[in-house]
Amino acid sequence: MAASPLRRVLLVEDDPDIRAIVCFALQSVGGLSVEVCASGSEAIAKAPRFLPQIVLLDVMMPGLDGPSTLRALRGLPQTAATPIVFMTAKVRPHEIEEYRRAGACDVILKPFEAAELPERMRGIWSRIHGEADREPT
Amino acid sequence: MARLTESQRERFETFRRAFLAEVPARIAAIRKAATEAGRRGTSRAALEDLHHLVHQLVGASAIFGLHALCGTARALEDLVTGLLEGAAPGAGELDRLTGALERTWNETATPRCRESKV
Repeated sequence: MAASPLRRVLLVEDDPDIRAIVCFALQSVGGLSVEVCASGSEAIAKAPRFLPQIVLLDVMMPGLDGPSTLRALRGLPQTAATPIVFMTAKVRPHEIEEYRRAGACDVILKPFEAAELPERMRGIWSRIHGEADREPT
Repeated sequence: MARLTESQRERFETFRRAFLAEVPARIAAIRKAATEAGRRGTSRAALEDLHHLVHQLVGASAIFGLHALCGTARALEDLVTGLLEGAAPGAGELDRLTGALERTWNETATPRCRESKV
């Protein structure tokens, strides 16, 4: 079954300048509905009401970091299966595979071109649903 | 490349200018945190505070196209990560790399750089 188009993104990023430019890119350039969170705990509080189709989650944040937030979102019935994309500026060679094993469906490395982000997110969304469509029933 | 309207381009430039205006305060906060973290017997929490500030600068300077500043901040982040993982601090290393960060910003923050687009 074809997936519905990507419309709702939960953005979790602790840096205010990155939050602002990414939110603008997703909303104004990409036409997406974005719920913005400055921390993992805020994301856990907002996600069950916002019901994101995908989560764009910073890895390194004070308090709850990205992997801990991912685990907490997996524990909520509303977001147990929601695709989660990590974004990070610091990656050691083995870390991308670790993030994928932890449950991230993709990893976006900083720097990225903010204006290109909506297309990248839609590409990830399409890929996820393409893979799901190819899974045997 | 995404096709942007003129007003979207202007908004992106506004975000960039806002970030540039904040960089001196970010570096001053890093200097303060580095001084605190460099004191003998300072807690792990002080190093974590420093790491958080530097990590944010690495990410934001990368996204806003300040590559030299990002590179210097990344070197400082690597040092602080090492300290958090138990490496013995080299004498004056925190101070040296924080000074390098300040110099890189001073060299970057010319009117020409401030006016350039992302």
